[in-house]
Formats: sequence, structure tokens, C-alpha cells
Amino acid sequence: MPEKEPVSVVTSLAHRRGGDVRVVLHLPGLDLPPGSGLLRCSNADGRRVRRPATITAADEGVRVEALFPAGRLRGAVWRLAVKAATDDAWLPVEARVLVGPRQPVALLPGPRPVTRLAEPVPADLPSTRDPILARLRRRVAARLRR
Amino acid sequence: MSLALSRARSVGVDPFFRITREVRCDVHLVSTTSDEFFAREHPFAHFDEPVVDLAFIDGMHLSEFVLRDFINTERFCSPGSVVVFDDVLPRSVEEAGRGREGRARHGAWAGDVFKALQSVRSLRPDLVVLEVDTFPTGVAVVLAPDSGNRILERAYDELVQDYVVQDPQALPGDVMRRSRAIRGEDLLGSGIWSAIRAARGRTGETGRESIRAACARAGLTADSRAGGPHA
Repeated sequence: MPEKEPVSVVTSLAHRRGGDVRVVLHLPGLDLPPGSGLLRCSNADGRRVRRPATITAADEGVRVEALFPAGRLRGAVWRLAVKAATDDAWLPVEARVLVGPRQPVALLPGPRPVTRLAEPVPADLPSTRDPILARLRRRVAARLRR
Repeated sequence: MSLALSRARSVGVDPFFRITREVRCDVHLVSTTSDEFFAREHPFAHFDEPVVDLAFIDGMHLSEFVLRDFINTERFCSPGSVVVFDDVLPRSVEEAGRGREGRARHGAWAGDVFKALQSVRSLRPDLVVLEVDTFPTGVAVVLAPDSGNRILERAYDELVQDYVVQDPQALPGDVMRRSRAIRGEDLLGSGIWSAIRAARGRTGETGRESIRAACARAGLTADSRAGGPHA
């Protein structure tokens, strides 16, 4: 697994612009030739979306900017990778983009946190992760209601 | 630190949290980013009902993270919910920088959270925004939230472009002088808390209006303080 390129948290951003999601990454440690390149989003389901990117020189590194159609990034957290037009290899970037249906688009720079526990379900909803527990919970709830 | 004070059912969200003090409450600590937390189907399943009474927003000391946290939190607020923003009153341009240099040179780093608070104040005059003069970098208490209001969410995509700019940040003089800030003792000793408790069970504009009226009666809001020592 190649090491991920660090992203400046203070000078990078992602947001909606019209029907697109605009991603601007400041990669302080990266040396890429200014000009055209590609930025790639990939999610946990294996879906990938690539878009042309503009690469410019920035403070001690490069700035990479690309527009993605918002409809193609809907409802997921996306890993990012970049490459110059002349390069073969993708360089993974240490930042992700979250595009949720009910919240602002968010650039999430830094390493991905490890979330170990399953998302809890409200007490009045049966758990979909454990059908035996869900059945037991429904029985207990029914007895309590009697 | 703030979690150590809690005695109520609580949720803490931090991608890489560390527990350095004893905690004496029923807490769900979630190891994730706040944006991913709010993308969950039931982020507050740990509570009996998905309503936040008190939220404390740190937001990495960066305006866009803080504004997103507020937008996402407000969806789970009742009229009586209280939202606290940390680090809204930097004492110098260095402390207000988006980079962490302020901490290295001055021992405190507020970041540019003050910009998010400016947006909240200007775009949401329906909210009560109280700056509190705490050491070292101040807090803001936001009252009378409206879970159905989408003004900030719609404005976010334009605002974030103004927020993400190189240091030094343009720090307004009134923020640096803390000219709107009230003393913590005055806020805690004011008569607004019974109105806030009463509003927790209410929905809609009635509860929010009762809080705005209580703040005005207590002399905490700008209109009621015109001509006063903080005006």
C-alpha cells in the first residue's frame, strides 16, 4: 500500500457549486508538474469517478482542483487519488470527501479513523444486524405492553 | 474536559479521542469525524429521543468545520437546546490564524472560528448569540435553535470559499476587544435558564420567542444592552 500524500487541512476544501462538487486540495509535500492531471474518487463499494484536474504550484507543493458531478458522488464517503497527465501511477491522498443527502459536503483531511462499534439503533427500532436479538427484543417489548 | 463535567446521557465524537480524566456519565464515545457521525441513519440512538439539550462544538478550530457542526447539530435541537461554540474570541491576529502557529507562540490557539459565528449572527438573526468572556479564547452560547431552518445549509457552499484563505486572517476589532462579550457569571446568574428549561418541551416559534424575550429581559441581548457597558 503506497503511503498517502498529506493534505493541508487549512488550505483545502470541498463544496457544492451548481450541480457539481468542487474539490480543492493543497498537497504541501508533493512535486507534480503544473498543468493538467486527474483526480479520482473511489468508495467502499468499488465505484470510481475520475475527472480532469488542474495542477498548479502552491506553497511547498501543488494545488489540485477538479469538479465532479454531484449526482455521481451522492450518499457516500470517497477516497481520493491524484495523478499528473503524464504519470501512470495514482497517488493516494490522505483526505476523503463526504457527500451526504442531508448535510453540507465535507472534505475530511487526515487519516481515516477506525470506528469499531456498529452504529446503534434507537431502542424502539429492531436491530437489523442481529435478527435473534431483534426477535427477543420484540417479544420482551410485547410482554411489557401487556 | 467538558465531558468530565457531564452527569447526563452524553455522546462524544472525535476521530482520535483520548480519555485523560474520569468520566461519570452514561456516554457513547464515537471514534469518527463529526461529519460522518451526522451522516449516520440514527446518530443519537444513544438517547431516548434524537434531541440534543446541550452541544459543545470544537470543530478543529476552523470556521468551516464549526459551521458544518452547527448546521448538522441544529437538526437535532429543540427550541430549548443550548449550543456552545469554543474559541470564538481570539486575542490577537496570531491566535486567530488557521494554522497552529498561534499556539506555539502564545500558548493558545483559537483559529478562525469567529468567522463562523459572524455568519451565524448575520444570517440567523432569529438566534440568540451570546459571546462570553472566558479565558483564554472565549466561548459563544447560541440559544433558540430551529431544527427546520435551512438558511445556513444553503449559504454554506459560498461561505466556505471565503473562510478557506491563507493567514493572516482579518480579525475584526470588536472581536479582539470582546466588545459584545458578557461575563460568565452574569450569564449563569441571569434569569433565562427557567425559560430555557420550559422551552425544551415546546415546539416551534412559541418556545423560541419565550427564550428571546427572557434574554432581553435579562439584559443579555444587544438591543437590551444598548448604551450599557458592553454596547
